[in-house]
Amino acid sequence: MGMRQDLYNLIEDGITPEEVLSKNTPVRRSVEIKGEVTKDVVEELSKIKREPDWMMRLRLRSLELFNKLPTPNWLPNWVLDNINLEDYISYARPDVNRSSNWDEIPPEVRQYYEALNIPEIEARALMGLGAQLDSEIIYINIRKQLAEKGVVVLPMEEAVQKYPDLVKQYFMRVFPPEHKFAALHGALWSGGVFVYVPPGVRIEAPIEGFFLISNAGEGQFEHTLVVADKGSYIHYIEGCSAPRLSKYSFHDGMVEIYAHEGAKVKFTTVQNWSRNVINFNNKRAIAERNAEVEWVEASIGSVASFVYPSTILKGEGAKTEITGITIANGKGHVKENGAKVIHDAPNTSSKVVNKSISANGGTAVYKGVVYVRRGARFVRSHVACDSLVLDGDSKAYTIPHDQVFDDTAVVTHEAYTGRISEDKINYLRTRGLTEEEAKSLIVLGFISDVTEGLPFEYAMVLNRVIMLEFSKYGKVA
Amino acid sequence: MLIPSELRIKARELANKIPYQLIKDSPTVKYYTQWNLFDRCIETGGNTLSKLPQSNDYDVVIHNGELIKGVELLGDQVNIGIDPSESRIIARHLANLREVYPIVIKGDVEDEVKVLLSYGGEQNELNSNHVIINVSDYAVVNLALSIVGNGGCGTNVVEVNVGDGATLNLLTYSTNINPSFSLIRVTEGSGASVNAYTIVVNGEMTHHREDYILQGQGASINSNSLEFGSGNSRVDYMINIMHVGEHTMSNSTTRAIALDSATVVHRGFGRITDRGRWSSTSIEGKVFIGSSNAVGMSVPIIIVDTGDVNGARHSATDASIDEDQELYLRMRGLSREEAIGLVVYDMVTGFLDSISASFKGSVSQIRESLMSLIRGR
Repeated sequence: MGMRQDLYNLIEDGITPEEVLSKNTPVRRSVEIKGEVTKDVVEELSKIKREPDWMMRLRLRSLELFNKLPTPNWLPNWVLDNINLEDYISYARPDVNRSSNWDEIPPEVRQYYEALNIPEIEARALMGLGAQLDSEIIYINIRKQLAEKGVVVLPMEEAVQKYPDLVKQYFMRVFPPEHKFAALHGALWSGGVFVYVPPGVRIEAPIEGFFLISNAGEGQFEHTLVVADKGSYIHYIEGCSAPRLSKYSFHDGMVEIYAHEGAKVKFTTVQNWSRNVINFNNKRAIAERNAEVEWVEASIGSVASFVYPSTILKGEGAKTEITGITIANGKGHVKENGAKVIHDAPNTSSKVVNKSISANGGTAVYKGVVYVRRGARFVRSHVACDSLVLDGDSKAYTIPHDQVFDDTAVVTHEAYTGRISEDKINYLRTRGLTEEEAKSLIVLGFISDVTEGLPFEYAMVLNRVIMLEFSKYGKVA
Repeated sequence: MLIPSELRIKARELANKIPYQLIKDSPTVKYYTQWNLFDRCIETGGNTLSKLPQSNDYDVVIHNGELIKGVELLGDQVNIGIDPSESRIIARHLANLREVYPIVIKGDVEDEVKVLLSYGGEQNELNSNHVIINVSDYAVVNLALSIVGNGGCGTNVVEVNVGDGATLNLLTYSTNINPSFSLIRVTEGSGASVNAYTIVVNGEMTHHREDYILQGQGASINSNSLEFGSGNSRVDYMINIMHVGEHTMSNSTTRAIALDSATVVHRGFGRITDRGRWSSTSIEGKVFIGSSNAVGMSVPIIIVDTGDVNGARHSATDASIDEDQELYLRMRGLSREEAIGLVVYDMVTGFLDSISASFKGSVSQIRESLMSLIRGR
């Protein structure tokens, strides 16, 4: 409450919301690596983390690939111009000792998380939480009963030390460094959470990883790896945030999921980076026989975002659902929120639902692929994309690719792009709502069938964020 | 009309420099046209010995870049609407071409105007045809266009300018053997209306592309297409619809059939530009996969550059025979192959029956060829 009261006081003192939101509280760093990404830089990073040889080699191999691979031509030039790695801090360790108790986190750091209600949500709704500030996890805690069942929730670095064989089996094997920025991630990864769920264990409430970038000109490369053993269940929630920064920051994270036979993994992301963050997130899952992987990607913040949650349905009967909510709100904002499904086994099924909203000159893009391998018999796949364009300056692009190599498959796709209905806005305005309120209500209605599937606390947060996004604060936040 | 020398020089320069296709997409997506197959094709500049096609049934015949019939329909010199910088295949086409034939169709023409673009030669010889057809303002025209490859590689470009208020009924039938590239680019004036029927059949690598540019206010295109691939064919059919004028409307429906080891691709692209306010587009595709070795692909894209849009939608299905359908037909004593044959027959005849009666003569010939192709499999 203290911080919020401060904000209100500042606004009352005549400071604009933009100035308030730009207020930086730089976090002191104990280590900072900046400049060209070279072999020396990568080796230094690996040494700082006291990594085993195999991990250092993996980083160096990734760096080699990063240098070799072409710059993706599927990115807008202005985005590439602003990913000038020499100017970015590629590793920033905050001067904070990691803890499992919020009281031990320094107040000037804790306030960021308190302002976002993270400790409260943890107490009410979560079975575990890992909070990352810049390049390192500073807080991690899981409920005792989970630890007793053998569930492992650790900062990625600690997992590399403690469970090398387990980590090695999956790390960057689900998502190999196949394009330039995935390779860059492999070279510079830092932080993130490792989760292992033993066979048959069902974690009834979600575990969350929360990622915060505290300063401008920073690169964040966290790596999340979730391994769900046979017949287990986990819901992992990923939250991302940053204060409004004075220049661009760059997020190039990676999420790898491995769902063993009969396991179910639900992975929800509420991405609310501030408008100066360029966001890449490399997300891929492998689902074994009868496993299920469900992605929910709510892409609200950032100026440019390129995220394509992908599932490889490797085992017979595996299923996936990929749900995307995209908001591109602001001139020049480009938000790509796609999906990829590779049907690699018989009787696999997939469902992709994508809802996008573009406003005030923003561009929302769906790019997706559904691929059915020859021999993957009786595959079923359905993709549905709906785009809502709120004004004449905004754009919506839907670019799906369906590639079917088996004659028993049924792959369908449907999409619709339309304008917000003036009648609905007028109706709501006659009921006393402002135009902004009316628009946010219509947007919430448009995505309600998606948000209804979220845990209550997150649906509330998402609704609130969307309402704010279309308020006067949304123009600056 | 001879190709201007500066254009030919530019085309020759670019033919070795620029790519066939730029893919600005994720690493997962590969080329749908196997452009490397065109690399073996050698430009002949029209100097090929090949049998001339039968010309009795046509009003205009162009074979290996030369006008064989229809000199009376030739119009004045016109500007060529394509540019070699668009892609390597277009640069190669222009570099390989001696002449472009402008044709003018004035007033109402009740009967079909039948145009044949034919090419033939040795397997690696590349022959090119290019025709520019101008449909006068407020004319009503039935244009039947045949693109026939009798061996060798081919590039065929047809530019059609549809005048203000004109109505064009366009039937295109394309059948090829070796790698072929066809581009039909239709530009429509205000209030113009095009009803297009397209049938693309087989070919080692057939890239058939249709561009509809709805330039004038209130222009419309209603397109129905049938792709047919059997044997080892690979057919990449692409329809691009660009809404430039306000209040324009487009509707595209494609049915595709992939049999044996054929690969059939349907790509539909509907773009409502920021100038094309209050427009609507609908792109629909169904790819029928009729064999365990056949491949079907769909890429229905909608790009909307303005919120002032009446609506943009697309849908696509890639599938074989419906399980219930198969069960029903099997209960009647039919094998899966027979059931698939029935579905194919139904799709083809259903499509041919839907074509405007103005093309009765052409449809009858096409029906005969398609039926013998289906029966002969």
